[in-house]
Amino acid sequence: MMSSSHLLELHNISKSYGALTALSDLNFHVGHSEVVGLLGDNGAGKSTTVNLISGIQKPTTGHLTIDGEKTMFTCRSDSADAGIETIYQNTALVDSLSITRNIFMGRERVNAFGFLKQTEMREIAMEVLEKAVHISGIDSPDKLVGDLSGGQKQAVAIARAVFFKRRVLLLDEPTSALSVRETEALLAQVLKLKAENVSSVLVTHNLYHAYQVCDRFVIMSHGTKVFDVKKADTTISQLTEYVVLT
Amino acid sequence: MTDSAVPKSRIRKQSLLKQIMTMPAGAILLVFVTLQIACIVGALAYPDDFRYLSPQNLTILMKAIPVLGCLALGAGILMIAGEFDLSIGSVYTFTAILMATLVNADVSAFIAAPLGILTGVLIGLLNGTITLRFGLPSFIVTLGGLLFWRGAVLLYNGAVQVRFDPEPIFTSLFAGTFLGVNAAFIWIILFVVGFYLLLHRHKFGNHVFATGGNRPAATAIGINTDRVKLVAFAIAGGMAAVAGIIATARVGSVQPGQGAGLELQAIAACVIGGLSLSGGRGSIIGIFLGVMLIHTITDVLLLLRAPGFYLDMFIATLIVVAAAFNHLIERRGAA
Amino acid sequence: MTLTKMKTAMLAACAAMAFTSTAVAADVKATMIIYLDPSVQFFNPVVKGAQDAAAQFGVDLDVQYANNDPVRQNDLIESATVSGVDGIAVAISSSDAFDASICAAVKAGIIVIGFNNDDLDGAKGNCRQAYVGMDEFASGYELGNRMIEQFGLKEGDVVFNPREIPEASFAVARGGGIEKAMTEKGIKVETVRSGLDPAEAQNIIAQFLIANPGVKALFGTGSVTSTVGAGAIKDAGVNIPFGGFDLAVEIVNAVESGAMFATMDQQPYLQGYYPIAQIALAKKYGLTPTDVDTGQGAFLDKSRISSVKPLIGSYR
Repeated sequence: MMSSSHLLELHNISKSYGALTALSDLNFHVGHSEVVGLLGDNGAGKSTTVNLISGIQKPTTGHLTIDGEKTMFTCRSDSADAGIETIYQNTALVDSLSITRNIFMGRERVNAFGFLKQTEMREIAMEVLEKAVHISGIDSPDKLVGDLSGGQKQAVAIARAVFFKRRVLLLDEPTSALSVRETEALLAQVLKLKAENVSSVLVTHNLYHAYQVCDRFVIMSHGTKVFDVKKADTTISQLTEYVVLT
Repeated sequence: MTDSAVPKSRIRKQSLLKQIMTMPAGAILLVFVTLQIACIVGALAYPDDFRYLSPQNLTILMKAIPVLGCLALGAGILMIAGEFDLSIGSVYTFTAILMATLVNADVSAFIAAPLGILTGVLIGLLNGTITLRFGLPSFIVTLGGLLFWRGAVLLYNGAVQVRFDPEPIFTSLFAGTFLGVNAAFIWIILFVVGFYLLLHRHKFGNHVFATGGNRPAATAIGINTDRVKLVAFAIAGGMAAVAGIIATARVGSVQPGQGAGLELQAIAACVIGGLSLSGGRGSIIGIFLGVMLIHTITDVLLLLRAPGFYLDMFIATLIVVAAAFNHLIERRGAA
Repeated sequence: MTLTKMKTAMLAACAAMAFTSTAVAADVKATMIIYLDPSVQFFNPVVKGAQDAAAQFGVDLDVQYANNDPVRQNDLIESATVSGVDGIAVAISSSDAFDASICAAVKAGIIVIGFNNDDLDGAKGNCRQAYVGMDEFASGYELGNRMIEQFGLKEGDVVFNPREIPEASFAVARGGGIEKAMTEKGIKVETVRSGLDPAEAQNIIAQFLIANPGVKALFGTGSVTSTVGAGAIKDAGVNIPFGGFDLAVEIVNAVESGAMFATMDQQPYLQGYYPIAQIALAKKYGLTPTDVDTGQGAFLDKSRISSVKPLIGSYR
């Protein structure tokens, strides 16, 4: 069960868009059953890092390894196959579709001809909404996502990621639209997943939320890592200092 | 406990109307049904002056609806995917002339017609490729297509009308009568059912809605939005050709100048049927109802011997009202 | 919801108004179907003629436009048939597209009279009981020959004959007549599609004349090309003879000033008047409709044009 290689590791990752360098020589790892907080001020490169890990973009140089093996993600489904699930900052939900169709978007349950197994998907959606995340006020998976509040939408995105979870969950600013109660529920969810051997990478501005659940903190600035420390070895004020001053 | 009994029945009654209104084409269905009831009542009250229910009139309706219906289905699916095709009127004419000239050169209509459809599909793919490859608005690309293929009609065959003389089986297959129902109408019903299954019951349909509703989200989830849009463009072009086949089989000839303005009518039918101009919203039944509504109103105005201008003004008003109404629904949700 | 209810109420009100008006209708009902759209000025005298005849003979007249769409024209013919009119006056702008619906109307006992354009095979190719209009081929032939004679056009010359809608039967017939007159003398005819928009047609004609300075004469085909032809000649800065068809203020001015040699007038007022009158007479007294050649005496040059001017747009 204990392998010497990390679950996910970034090796010397650089990413440039023409003349603009977003990431330069970025190295960090995510271990098994670990929650890593990815911190840094605006423009540090956190979102680009998330895009690279989820396969939407490719690094200019450097590579990723999964369980020690070098991998190349050319598209989103590659990273999904590798067990990486992402919750995006703007939830990646389609307002005009129902909760069920959003949860199964791109991964619809279909029969031999590609036709949707709608009853099955509905039932699963309902189950997921009730058990996986405690969401206030959603009583039917047929409701259109566009009719939900910001927090409810976030919860649906989380429910989707939780349902399809495999090994690593990327959360890009997940608490920005949540109420206090919903935030607590989300953070509890992250810890629960850790107990089920699902690691998380939590990208956030909110150091207090990060401090509650993360085992380790990686602070980025100007496209590279400037600080990598276990929770036990640091305090919130030290983290704040690093984020602000670098 | 008695308090809860009374609100319950009120809630149930409200939810039927609400159920209909939350259906994608609920409002348009209500308008359509109301119009039909008014027409039927009028026809029963004045059977000689308002011959709405006469079998000949129903036949005319059945003959007229399929052409616009095919165009609107293709344009509508593409609209839901978030793009436009303004060239479908010109493609309709071009593929029809192509088919007619082939038949005149002794090619069987059963080969010429599929070739026409293939041409429509290819033109659609061309529109899509240019739009996606260069990141241009499809509105502009297909506006160019509209002019290009209209000119191509004249280049290909000159400015002459073309007779269409296929095998009699072909004509009866597309313009004949089957069990008392016009053949073209049977075709449009089949298309409506087929596209309903594709758009609302198939995973491809889910991807179309996702692509049109929130393209970045669909891409992030891993849907190949470019491929989805290309297929939708191909459908729009192909259905334009089908509309051309049906119209030509009915009239027996093709005029190079025909089809002008049909693309706007098709889009109008889609908007009336509840489709959003920004994509991601709509239904097949809505498109069909939009077409039926336009043709029913046309028919009613003709039967009432109202001057032709009224029709355009009526349809224009209907479009704006429908669009405003749909916008309201989008904004407030089904509440 | 209120929106739906309001719409229904409005529709019901419209229907009620329409029903009351038809209830007081005259005893003869006729529908006039014009192939083009209402912006084509040529048809204004046609409609006036039809309306005058309707008023005089007690006909309830409905005028519809097919907007240059053969499918729509078929819908209009079939709708009129269904609503049981007594007569249909229709511009038969295609030799085939309307054969079926017109024959169906005749079979249903409706009087169908073609006006303005006819099937190129005449009565042999179409079920219509009569045609009121110009023999367009003959008028093209006549104009062509008169221009050849007047301006000494000879073998090897090139003339330009732009056509609004080249595939329409009026263009085929008139253009064909002009071509026959020209080819008999060894003169070549160039042609181009000019469309129905006057400004655009003028540009197209002018550009052709600039690009082809060897053109010896200009022939209009329909009312649009005949109206803008003189202006196009001026725009191109050339000095060639010009002859055309139909009447408009610009055409009359051009003939008066000499910029235009002559116009072949097809007397559109009569093309509206006679079909409606004949339908009424047929319905009431069983009189058989007959052909009327409205192009008889059509040739209007400078000597005959002046009386026409004040009546343009209404009676001429």
